[in-house]
Amino acid sequence: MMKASHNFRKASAAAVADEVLGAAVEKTATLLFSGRASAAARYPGFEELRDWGRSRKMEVSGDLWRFARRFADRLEAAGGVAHYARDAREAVEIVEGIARRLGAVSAVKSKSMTAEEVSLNEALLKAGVAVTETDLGEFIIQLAGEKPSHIVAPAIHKNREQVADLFHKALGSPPGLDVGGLVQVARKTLRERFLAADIGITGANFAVSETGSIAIVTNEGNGRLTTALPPVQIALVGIDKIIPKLYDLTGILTLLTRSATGQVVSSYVTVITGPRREGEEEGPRELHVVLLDNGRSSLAAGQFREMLHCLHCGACLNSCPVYRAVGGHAYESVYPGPMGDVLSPLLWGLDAYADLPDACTLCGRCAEVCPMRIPLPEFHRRLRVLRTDLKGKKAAWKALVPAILAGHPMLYRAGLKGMRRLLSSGPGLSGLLKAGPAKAWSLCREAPRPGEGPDFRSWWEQRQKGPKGDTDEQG
Amino acid sequence: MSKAEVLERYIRMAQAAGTVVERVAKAELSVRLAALLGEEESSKMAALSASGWPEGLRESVEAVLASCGFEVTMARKDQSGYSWDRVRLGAASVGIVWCEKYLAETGSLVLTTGPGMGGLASLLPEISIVLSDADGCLEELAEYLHLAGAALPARMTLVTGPSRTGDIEATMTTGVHGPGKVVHFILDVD
Repeated sequence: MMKASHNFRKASAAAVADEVLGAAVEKTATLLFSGRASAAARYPGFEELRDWGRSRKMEVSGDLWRFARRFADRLEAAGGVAHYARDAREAVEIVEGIARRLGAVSAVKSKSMTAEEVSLNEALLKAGVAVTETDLGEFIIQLAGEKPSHIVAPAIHKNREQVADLFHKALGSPPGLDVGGLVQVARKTLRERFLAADIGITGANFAVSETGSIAIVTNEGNGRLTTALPPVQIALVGIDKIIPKLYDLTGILTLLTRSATGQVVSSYVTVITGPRREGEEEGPRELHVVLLDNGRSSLAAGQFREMLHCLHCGACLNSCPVYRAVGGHAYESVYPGPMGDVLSPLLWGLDAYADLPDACTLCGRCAEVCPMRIPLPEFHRRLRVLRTDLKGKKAAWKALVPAILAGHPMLYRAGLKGMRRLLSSGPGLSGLLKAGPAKAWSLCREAPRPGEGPDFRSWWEQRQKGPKGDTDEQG
Repeated sequence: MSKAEVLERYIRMAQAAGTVVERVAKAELSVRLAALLGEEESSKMAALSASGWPEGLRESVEAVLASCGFEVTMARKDQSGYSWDRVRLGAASVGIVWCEKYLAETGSLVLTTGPGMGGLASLLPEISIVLSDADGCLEELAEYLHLAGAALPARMTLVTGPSRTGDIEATMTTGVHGPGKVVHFILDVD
């Protein structure tokens, strides 16, 4: 995933020149953006709900390990198996290990950006497991051998003609099918794969600490099929997906679906609490949940903590003038758009994604639509400051990055010994604050900063003092 | 909100999500169901949930299906519990299940797993027919969770309208993986 040196300007130049891509992205992003706006307006108290949602996520990010520990306990009490993966490699190894033990040859997958993050498909393919993406958008880009370009609408960059052509070549369907015809081809092809699959792989939109449940939200029903038909389910879940209580689902679900697509609720919301129970005729006999850290816990103690609140709804992408002009691929990260500009450097290093904090006009629209009120423009600005601070301190920065991303050494050792050990010995927020890497990270913030110039700085500070930043349209 | 208002809200929200809602008197169910099944021109196989039904209702549904020329497939019970005949289930064009509770706030059906509850019958066939009592309507999810308490099923699914996708040019299209049509019969207590 880590890029040697990502050059956003160069990568975006080609994207801007591609008119098909530009029109396709603009069409969908506009629809989703206006859908979100009217869905938010129709819900009385949506602004208060955002405050509430943020406060629930603050509770979790303030004591991540406690909530993760309880989630794992409750999951196992319900008959599931909890795993902890410190990084992408460990996550892949855990999934491969399960597949090997089962002698699995095929898997169906419901869209998971977390699985994209760790390049799970590629690894499973090498291990002899054929993975089929079942979300229509993901299926399209899998056939095309491409990467998703939007976290909610992965094939946003393709038009119908391109998809019809792709299905014709790859699946032998008649040429020139309309959207309805294409959907039927996908239904028939994928239904067979669902019925034959040894493993169902999913992500999760939420992991409920109180009950050990995971919740999966889809419109197509592929999430429901993936968790109903295969004999084994493996859910790969970022530790940032934890919510405290089942009741929290009520409000956070509303925030997610209204922000993502403008729907009151998606067609299917499945809440899974353990594997199939005695006498039941559907659901997996084994349920594995792999909690993925991959740099997330190191954010909990620092100035970018609120990135852990991200619901991955995509509203910031749809609102972003830069994303809408270039589409997702130019970001060369699984997470594009404003949330990706911030998350990619944090997870994989500011060295690798030095350009991304600049892929932002500071217009403020993303903060306006973010259901969790993550201050994305401010985070872009902070990353620019951090990057400038570290210029000329190349060696010091280089030494620091692995330390930050690795987290506390105790976490590392315990992580290798498995979930339970890790969670019971995790240092918690206060421990992390005292620990080396997090401290170093916050020291960076305090270092002298040449910044973007006094005019911008004072303007920004003035803006911060004014009527609350969130409602400012123009930046 | 009164019970009647809550139910009205459910109907409005479910219809907005694309569910076909029909309120019927219990005595009229057979006629209305037969009319719906008569329109159905694909396979004459219907998948039915085996358990969860109020007394005698499954049998009346089976009788309607038989009169419309439908074969019925259900999960069968043996020592290890319920299991489907996957070939017959796969051939079903219609699935019929009972749904205890549904939610006005979002227009959602709450389908839960349990032995013989037949969740696959509401998922795999092209047409999903769901039957409920008029008094099964709750205001919102929070109310359902409160009632369920600690007794969470292994899987609980909120179903709101048909299976849909907007993944090609944001053109909303139904029936991608699950049913393209969801019909909810709400039985009035007569």
